[in-house]
Amino acid sequence: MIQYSVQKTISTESFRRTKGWEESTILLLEGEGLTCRTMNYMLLGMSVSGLLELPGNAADYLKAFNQLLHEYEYHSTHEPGSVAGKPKMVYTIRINGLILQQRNFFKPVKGAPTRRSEGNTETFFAGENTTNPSIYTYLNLINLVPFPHYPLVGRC
Amino acid sequence: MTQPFEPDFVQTYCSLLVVLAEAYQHILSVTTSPIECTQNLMVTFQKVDEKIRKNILGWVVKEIDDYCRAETQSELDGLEKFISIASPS
Repeated sequence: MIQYSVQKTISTESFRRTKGWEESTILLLEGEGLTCRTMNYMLLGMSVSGLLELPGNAADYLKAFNQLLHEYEYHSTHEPGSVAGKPKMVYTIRINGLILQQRNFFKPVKGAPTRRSEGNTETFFAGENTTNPSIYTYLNLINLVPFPHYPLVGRC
Repeated sequence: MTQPFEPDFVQTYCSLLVVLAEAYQHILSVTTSPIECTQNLMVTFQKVDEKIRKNILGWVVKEIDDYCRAETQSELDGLEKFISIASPS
């Protein structure tokens, strides 16, 4: 038994040295898009962690979670400026004179048709109402792309 | 813009998985009773689960699978050369 254990340890160490499995595991994921993917995963994690503090019921939470993943799917599969698909909502930010179109899925474009303007009185969240839009206002603070990392993501 | 540090992919990915696990746990915490699990709620949950599998887990699983297939193929190719040398007939 001891001999088997020693052999197993030696063979495992030999495999690690010869194959370099740890480095290989990293290398297989490395590529020109690794930085972009890392940033995307980090942004998604930050966005999901914001949803965890969302007050409300399960339906609202799952709706927000689903919408967040939907926007992340669009964000990760479409390059900025792509005409393959249009985001539902666009938020304009201005940095040092530059005008950047940042997508903020909880904040509609000014003047753009929304669910309410189209005559749909049903609100997105069950806990939201027009007199006390606390949840809606809170969700405005959650962006899929936080400001400090936007230029890096834009380059990817 | 100068980045303060380069985020590590493995650490970032593991942290994301931890956050997603907490997000799944949060679903249980906000669901107080089984009566609240309506059909619409289940459909929404299935959409969320499908998106996570497709966009987050699918890529990594596919790349590891491709890598393992390529490594296995290269090992088999090396073994085939060895067999052909050992038995030239």
